[in-house]
Amino acid sequence: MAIKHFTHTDYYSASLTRYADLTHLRTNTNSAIFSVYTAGVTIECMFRAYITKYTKEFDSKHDLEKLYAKSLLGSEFDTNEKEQLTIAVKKANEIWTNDLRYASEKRMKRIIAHKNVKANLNDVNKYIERDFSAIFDATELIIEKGKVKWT
Amino acid sequence: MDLIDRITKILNEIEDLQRPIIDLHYDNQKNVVGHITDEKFKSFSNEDSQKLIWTNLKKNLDSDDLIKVIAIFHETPLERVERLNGYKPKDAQTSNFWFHQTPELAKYWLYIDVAKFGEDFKSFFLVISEKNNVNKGLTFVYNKEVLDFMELEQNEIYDELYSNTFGNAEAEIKLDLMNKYENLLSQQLYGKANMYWYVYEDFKLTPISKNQLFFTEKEISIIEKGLKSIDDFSIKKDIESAIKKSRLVNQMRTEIK
Repeated sequence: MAIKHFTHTDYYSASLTRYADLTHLRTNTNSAIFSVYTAGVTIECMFRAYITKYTKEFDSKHDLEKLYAKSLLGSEFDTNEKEQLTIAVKKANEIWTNDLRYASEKRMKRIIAHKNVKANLNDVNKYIERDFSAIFDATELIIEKGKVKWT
Repeated sequence: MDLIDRITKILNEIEDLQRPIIDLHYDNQKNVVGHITDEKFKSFSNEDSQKLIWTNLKKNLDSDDLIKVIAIFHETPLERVERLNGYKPKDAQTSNFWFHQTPELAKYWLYIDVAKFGEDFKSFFLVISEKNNVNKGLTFVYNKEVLDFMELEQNEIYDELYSNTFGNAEAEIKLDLMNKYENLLSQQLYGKANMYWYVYEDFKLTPISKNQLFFTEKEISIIEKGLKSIDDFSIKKDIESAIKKSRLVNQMRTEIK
């Protein structure tokens, strides 16, 4: 059944639910790809919650930088916090794309490997760990900030 | 002065940046959001890049203006190409030689190959444009551990490495042409009045055969320099033989004149 309309509380609740899913998923190395995908969706839901609540604009695209700007979440914070949030969004956007939902584990590994080879990094044991900790830390910060200002 | 103009001026005056492209806009609430692109961000961490931006904003804007700045994302020129062009699947065709000619008749040559060296696989690209003074090359090395990590079957390696290398090479060419677009934009040439508009919507590289390779003397000099840093890929021989052939023809043309 197609759902035509999500409210800001739907998005907010979804963000917290996905975040709880993520906390569970990231402990299981077999769910690595899905946990990265879930991290991005968690962030996206939080931004969409703010967008729906404050600006009523709908954006069908899944660009985290654009969604963050539209959410106005940054306007709730001082310059130092805006700086931290921008870094977190940038890092998440470097790793996450909505297309990850179609990515097999092999494809994900190949994407990560190409990126690391280009940067002349050859220690494969650190490939996944580096990307994963970056996006999980970013998610944690964004969700924390989103929760603080949610009324 | 308008806030975006003032921020643009501040960001343009950051000494640590080379040639920033600044793309800012107002949202519906008159807040400022956007991007700043510069090659220097390649060597800075995300943290250092944002620190550089915000330190300069804080130094030059009062608190009422700072409240209106939501986010200015830093990016390298290649990240900009990816953001503006997105991912477009490449034609299934593979070729070692590609060609593009701009509306100003500048020629871009792209040479690309994948080969096995011992246990490693390597891929490389070389992009040359004599008129636009471009000579960019990159070699990617995939050792056994990396190939195992990628779970590549033997019959998949060539296509996988070729496809990634082609994407990187194409982005380098687009980047150069996007810079030309920006230069014309600063002369108030918008939309299709800007002859490089096509880079964003309709950019194509044309595959060519090795028999079609023909170079001017100036191109030969750039290509020879570029080839020095490239491993012993088999297409080097094809290029070297095309250079010899081109030299002969160039010499004959000079004699006829």
